[in-house]
Amino acid sequence: MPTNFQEIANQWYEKMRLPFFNLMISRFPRLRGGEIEDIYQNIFIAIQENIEKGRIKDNTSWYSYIMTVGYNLACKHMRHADITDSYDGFDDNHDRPTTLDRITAINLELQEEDISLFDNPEADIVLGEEIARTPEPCATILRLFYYERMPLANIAEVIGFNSARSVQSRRWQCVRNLISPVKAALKRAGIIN
Amino acid sequence: MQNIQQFDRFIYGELSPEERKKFISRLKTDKDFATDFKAYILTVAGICKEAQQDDIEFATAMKNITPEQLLEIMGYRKHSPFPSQTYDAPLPGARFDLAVGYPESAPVCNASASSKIQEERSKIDEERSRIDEERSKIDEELPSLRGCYIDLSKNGKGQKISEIEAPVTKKSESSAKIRSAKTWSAKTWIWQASSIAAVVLIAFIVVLDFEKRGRENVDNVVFSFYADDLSAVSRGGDDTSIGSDGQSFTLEAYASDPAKAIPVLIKKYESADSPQDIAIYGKLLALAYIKAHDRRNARIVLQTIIDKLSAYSPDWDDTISECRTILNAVG
Repeated sequence: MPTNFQEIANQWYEKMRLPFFNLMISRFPRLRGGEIEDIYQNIFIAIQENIEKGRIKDNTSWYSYIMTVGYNLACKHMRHADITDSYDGFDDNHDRPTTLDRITAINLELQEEDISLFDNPEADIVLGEEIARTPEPCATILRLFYYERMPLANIAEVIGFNSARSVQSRRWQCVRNLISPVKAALKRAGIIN
Repeated sequence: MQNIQQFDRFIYGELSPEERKKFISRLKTDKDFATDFKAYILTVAGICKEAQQDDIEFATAMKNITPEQLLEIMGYRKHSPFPSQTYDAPLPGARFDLAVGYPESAPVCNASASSKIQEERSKIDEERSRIDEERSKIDEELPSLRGCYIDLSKNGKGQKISEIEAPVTKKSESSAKIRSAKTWSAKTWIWQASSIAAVVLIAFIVVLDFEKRGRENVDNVVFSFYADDLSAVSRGGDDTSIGSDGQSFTLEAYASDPAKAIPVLIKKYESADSPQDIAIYGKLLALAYIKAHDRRNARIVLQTIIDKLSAYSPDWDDTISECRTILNAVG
């Protein structure tokens, strides 16, 4: 884990580039590479500006934020150029309850049924190690689906898959591949029986 | 696989109340199912917590890096993505506003600006100042033609250009450009108008020429047709010459070039007192005018023939009618 802030920002800048370009190419086929690059840079400039001005909500999911701001900037750019390419908005899911919110609610509900889900604080450490080992594109698919709550069609766009169906089947495969070692690790740690 | 689908549906509230009840009761009774669900929900929660941690780190990083550091990450950029907003690489300390892009007058570079950007910028500035110096040298060395006029009244021996303005300023340069653009526009307009006028003129000339040629052809046909009757001139006599006192000519000569006979025929026609002479010399004169394509005089002669012979009607009605026919043909 890098401790240098510039290094962290740089990692994000690099890892978001491909998904962002995929989205732009999918939604705005007439945008040139240079224009997409300009928009991409403007997003990061805008993020820094907005953070400084306190315009960012707590727990903002940056993946969706970057895609949404980029989509809006591209729309603005196309309007200036009198070109219409994409009629669909980009679903940023900001108002939906997060997966963590739901899990917390379920945990409370199941506690009433005498079912305990989170009874060991060491679980996070074990999970963190296993999740960090998740290869691409599984890591991105799982993050986008569970954390960002991004629709499968949008995930297909940003990771360059042909359809939502192919993302769905790949997601199941990724979850299964991840759960097996997580389960084994949790068992080893005595967190689950 | 089937369990994962069911787990997904459960956490996102997609199960029906009955299914939900069954699911919870199965968690209580089926130990393996409960273990799988626990592993699943811990994994999903772990994914979300990991992502949340990433987001917090990113936000912290973006808050703590300077704009210069962000520029270093992004690299140099020349153009805004928006057509109306073009700017050079933002100066260190400049703030971006999505609505307007970078301000034209960005804050002065601060000490923490990256040395790389500073170096690049100073190189560009040096290059610019060098170009400006060279430009000013050229301006000094070369006489500017702009703002000058030819003063022929004062000096006509070669030194014709005299400056009447100071060296061209940026303002006068721009106004000169505007003038030049206007002049060019006017020239273009004049050229277009001239071209159209030339085309119209040529078309007019062609039509006129065509009409003239048509008229001349009619004249020639009329002359050829009625000149055959010239044999009537010599009818009853052996001599085919007309006129006297050295001004006579033969009918053959008349047929080949009737214009030469016009002066003699005028005299003969004016002195004619008999209807026969009036008819013969008058027709010869009119036809001579027609052959010479002088329709105006031909019409006058023909009209006088008609007027004069009208007194001898009805004996000369045929001739009058013939003159009227010719008159109509050349009218």
